[in-house]
Amino acid sequence: MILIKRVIFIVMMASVCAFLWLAQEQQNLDQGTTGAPAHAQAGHQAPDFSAETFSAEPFDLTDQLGQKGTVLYFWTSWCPYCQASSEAMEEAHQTFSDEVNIVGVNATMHDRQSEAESFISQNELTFKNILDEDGIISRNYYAPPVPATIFIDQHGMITYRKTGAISYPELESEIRSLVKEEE
Amino acid sequence: MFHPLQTWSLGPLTVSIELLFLMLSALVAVTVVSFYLNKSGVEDHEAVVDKITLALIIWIVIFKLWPFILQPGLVTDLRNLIYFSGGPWAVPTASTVAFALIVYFYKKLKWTFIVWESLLTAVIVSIIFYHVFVQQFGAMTPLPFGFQLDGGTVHPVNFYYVWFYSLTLLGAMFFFKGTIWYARSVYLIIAMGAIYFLIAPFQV
Repeated sequence: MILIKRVIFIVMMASVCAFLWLAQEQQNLDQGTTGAPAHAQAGHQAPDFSAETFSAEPFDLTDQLGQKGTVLYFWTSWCPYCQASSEAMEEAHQTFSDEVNIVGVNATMHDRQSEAESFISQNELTFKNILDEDGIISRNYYAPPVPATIFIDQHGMITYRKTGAISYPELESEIRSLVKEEE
Repeated sequence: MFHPLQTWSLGPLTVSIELLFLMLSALVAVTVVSFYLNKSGVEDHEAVVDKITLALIIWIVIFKLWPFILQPGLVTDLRNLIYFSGGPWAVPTASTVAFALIVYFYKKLKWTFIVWESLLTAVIVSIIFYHVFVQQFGAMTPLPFGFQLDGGTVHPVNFYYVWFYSLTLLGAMFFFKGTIWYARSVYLIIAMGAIYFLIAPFQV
């Protein structure tokens, strides 16, 4: 029993020492790198993409960043959760359009463009909406499931991700966090 | 091991790996509490487990109904009860209420201190269970191994958690036999704090 206790204690101490050393190495690495790799989760750089809006204007995520944060909202026309969230998204756009960009991404590969266009007009969405015809953006951001809402700060870092319907208070809270960070 | 954003679909039901394993971890935690109390010879341990399960159910109910507290207008369409859950402060509020309920039962029903020990052990076992199955990507690593992400190598943070929490459990099993009654619980709480600080530099 004493031997087992000693072995456990030695392994514990060795692990702590190894991780303290690794933390030091990490600090040196962080000083020499440009940031976290791109991945669609909080704490990582948002994967970059280019696409076209429904009105055939070119869209590039990088162009949106720099001055203010961006909220990416993945949706499809057949999804009732997206229907439930769209009103809140439009309200947030009306309230915070000076502070953040709200960009809808239609997962067109899982939808029909004509129905997506009807969805936009029925829900009176005035924020920018883009088409993801080949599904690359959706795949990189792990959507569907939809709706998926991704909050990106002005430096391109994802601060929060919500899968499922999002209410206005939640949108407001996360947008205010983004704006606070920018200040 | 699974990617946290991966989803599994069964007919119309789609569930993310993250959510699925969170639910399974909660089940593991309840099972561990039951097993621990039984092994410790606590009388009427099933009644204790029932109350802890009740606290867990109340946690879920608060989390689910939280959007309707923040935005009561949502109740006008009953379908919203299916669509919405969570939101700002949902997790801290639900956790505080569930914890307060357990404290209330502990005092009112004069539970033994072993209940806290079993709860802490259950939390640690469920953390290990979750991290064995769900990948957690950390910061870029100076080491030659880790998870591959966007052409770089990042810290496999979930493995770090599994390693340290497993050592913690071993320590609890071997170092605290026949010691003072609260020693094991204090050790577990200190270990959880220490693990958080040890792994923090590698998280994103």
